[in-house]
Amino acid sequence: MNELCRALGSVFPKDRVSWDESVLAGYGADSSIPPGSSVYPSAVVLPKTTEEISHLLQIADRFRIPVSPMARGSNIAGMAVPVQGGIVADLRLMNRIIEINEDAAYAVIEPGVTFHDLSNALKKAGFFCHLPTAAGGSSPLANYLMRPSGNFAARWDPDPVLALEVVTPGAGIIKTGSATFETAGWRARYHCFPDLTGLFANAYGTLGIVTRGAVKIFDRGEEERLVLTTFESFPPALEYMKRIVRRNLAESVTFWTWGWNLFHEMMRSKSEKFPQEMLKPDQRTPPRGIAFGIASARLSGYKKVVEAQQEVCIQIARELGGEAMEDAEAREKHPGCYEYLKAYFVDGVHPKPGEESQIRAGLHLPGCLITAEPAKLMEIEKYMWDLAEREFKPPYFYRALPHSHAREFFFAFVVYVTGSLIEERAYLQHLRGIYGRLYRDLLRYYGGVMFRYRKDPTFFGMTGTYGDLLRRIKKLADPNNIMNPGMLLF
Amino acid sequence: MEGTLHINENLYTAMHKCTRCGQCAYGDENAEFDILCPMQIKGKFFTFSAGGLMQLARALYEGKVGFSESVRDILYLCTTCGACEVNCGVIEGQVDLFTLLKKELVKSGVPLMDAHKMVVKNTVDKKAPYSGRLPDRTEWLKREKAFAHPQVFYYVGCISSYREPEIPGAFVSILDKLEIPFAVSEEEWCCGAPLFFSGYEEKGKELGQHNVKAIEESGASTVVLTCPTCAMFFKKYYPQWLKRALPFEVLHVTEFLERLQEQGKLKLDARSDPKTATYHDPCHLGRGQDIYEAPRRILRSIKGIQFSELSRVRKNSFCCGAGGLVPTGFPSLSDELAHQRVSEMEATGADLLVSSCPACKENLKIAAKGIKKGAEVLDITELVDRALTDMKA
Repeated sequence: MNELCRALGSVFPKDRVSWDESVLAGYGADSSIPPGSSVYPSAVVLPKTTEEISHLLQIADRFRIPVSPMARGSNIAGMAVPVQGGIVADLRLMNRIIEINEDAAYAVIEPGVTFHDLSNALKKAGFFCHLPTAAGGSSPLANYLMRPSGNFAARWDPDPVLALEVVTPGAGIIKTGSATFETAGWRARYHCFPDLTGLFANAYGTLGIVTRGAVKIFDRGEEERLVLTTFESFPPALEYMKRIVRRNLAESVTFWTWGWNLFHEMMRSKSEKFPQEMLKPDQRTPPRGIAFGIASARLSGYKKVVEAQQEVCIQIARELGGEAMEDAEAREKHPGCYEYLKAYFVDGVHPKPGEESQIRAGLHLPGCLITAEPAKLMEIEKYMWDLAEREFKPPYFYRALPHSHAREFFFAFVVYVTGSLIEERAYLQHLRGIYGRLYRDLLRYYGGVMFRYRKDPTFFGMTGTYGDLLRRIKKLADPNNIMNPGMLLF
Repeated sequence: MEGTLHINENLYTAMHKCTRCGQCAYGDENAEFDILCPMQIKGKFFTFSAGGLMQLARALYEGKVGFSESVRDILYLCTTCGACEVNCGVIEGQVDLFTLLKKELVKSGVPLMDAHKMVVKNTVDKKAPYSGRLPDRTEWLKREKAFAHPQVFYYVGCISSYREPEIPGAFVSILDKLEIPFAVSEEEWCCGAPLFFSGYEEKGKELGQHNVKAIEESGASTVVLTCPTCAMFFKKYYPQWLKRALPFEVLHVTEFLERLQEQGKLKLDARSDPKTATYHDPCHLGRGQDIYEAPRRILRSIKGIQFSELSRVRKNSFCCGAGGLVPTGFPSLSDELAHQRVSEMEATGADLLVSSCPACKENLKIAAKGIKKGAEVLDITELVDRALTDMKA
């Protein structure tokens, strides 16, 4: 250990490396790690440059010690904790916005840049970045590398990453996309060769550490507008979303069920108590006077075009039995919900209270996040309600939005646990068990694939020759398996 | 799962909810998402933030780490500015949790830093946190100490009594000009904040009980304080400590002056030397008591004062570094924070920095001397006294 300590000390000054257990205690858990299950790293370092990371990985490889990268650390699913200990590379000081290229509409950023930093810089330049429901203090680059949902998900492809710079233990520093060539800039994900940028998406730090990346940015339109429509069940809402996206009418469209809408009223009033309606046993039926769900479509562009698009969206909704909800009505009936949607989809800023504030109201389990073909999604919706009635205590609700150009949809079913950790220990354990089985059943019976990897190696075991090739690539990039082995991907 | 931290399960559940989003350390869009957390400015690692301390507390509770001098040195970097409390979307009461950790630290036998040991010893023995031979607490007054039937009781506080006597001097001058009978007491003791913030809440309670008794005996129905930390203790902690509502009204001086203005009793004349002034929100007045507008309304009402805001204000106010025993434990951090704050004056064009807290004034004044030549730092009480029309004239 002394030798490792000396080696790290040769790269990082004293104030950027720590072996102190009190400091390490900040790195062992997020809200998803059950009581008593945290594992702490042996050291944490704060790199500032790609070269420092390169040295770090060389040292770690020599000592065969795991390295877990952490961009900003914000997570509710254990994706940024070092489950097998080792060294945490906390990337928060790599927080430079290196370039905002207004001409080619991309920004080159480091992993420690936050959504707040990026949105703020882009606002001055007349641009938006893709906003997921992650917290404003989280890292766009890390989030984008996990294929986020968000406010540009429908029209512009859900993956906003272009070129990357990555440090691997086996292959050194790699640049992908157009950045592969010194003179070509960062504008393209791939050219005449295979797409290596994609290799690092959803790799969760198991192949290397991403040290910078180019991400798409989007013009602020002459008009930004939200079209709200209500539906009384899921099938017409899903059909509405499909038509909107296939006909290229909106930047994004999302369907939020009534529980979510009431939840935002509760958040707005700063209450921590769920309204009685949200705790009623029959969650499939909304309370009287409230629609089953609201679809929000984000429109952006020239005013005349936006107005025409709005008219068409409403026409489609009506054809399907839905109703338009005017802004004034939404503001009056669902002020919390309206404020949230407006901030997020129209103003392009992280709303306050944000999604993270949902956790304030209860212990929040990572939702069941599934993608599937639209027809299968309707079956999944029924399956989830049935399962919920059997196994979950209210409140719970879901939201759905298109992913990959409406050929598959993202479906998030969220369950809250309202008691304390101790009181609800048994229920929490029960839920974790259900989630484990759930993903396997959804894949087997409905072709539903987990949207984000949930550290279940059996899934990777089902990937056949695809997995074989990835394992070989892993061997080249990280021959001694030091990169984030706690993710249980390889 | 048996740790060294003993807390109730609701608190443990609350700390378990931290998503490590880091928002606690930053201001909102009005402050361009700047870092506000003094710990994060000093420490850089995630642990040096409210979210990091939540994880540390969780590790202590779960017995994964024990209380140590290292835990102490992280905890005492907190200036108790409360920026985390307004910026976290999930958890509330962070500062109280950190204070609870300090209490547990004391119980576990980890010694305080030498500088803080001295603060505790002095506060217990001399009823003020300062060392050396202290002058009489009311020496600054230099006149008869009390009226027979005081309308207000002026609780002066330790910093004003011993280190910033211009502030109580100005306040008493205002009271005299407005012919408001008041009382001050030689029997005033420290409000208890230094003991509370160093984990000795029980000893702090004794001071609180004494102060309340002294004020009750004066017969005054209103207590006015020029120190927002003392005012916060009177309003928030004293009723908890005494387990009853206080039998008198408690007002910070900005609330008191604004009320006098509303009643038409306080009129502020043109200053002879017009100045551009800016205002620093003291943490324990703004985030601590939600008082943001009263001082601004007072400043704007002073003719001759051109008011210009700093970039980080109200809930986004940046701590001057004077809170939470940081000046005694980590003076270089305290200086750094004050320098950062004074540097913000440049963009405002102001040559006068006003605050409404003696600790802020003291820290900012020293920083201004070093980096902003010619800048004046005043407490709002001093400025009002200068601008006050003599009602007798």
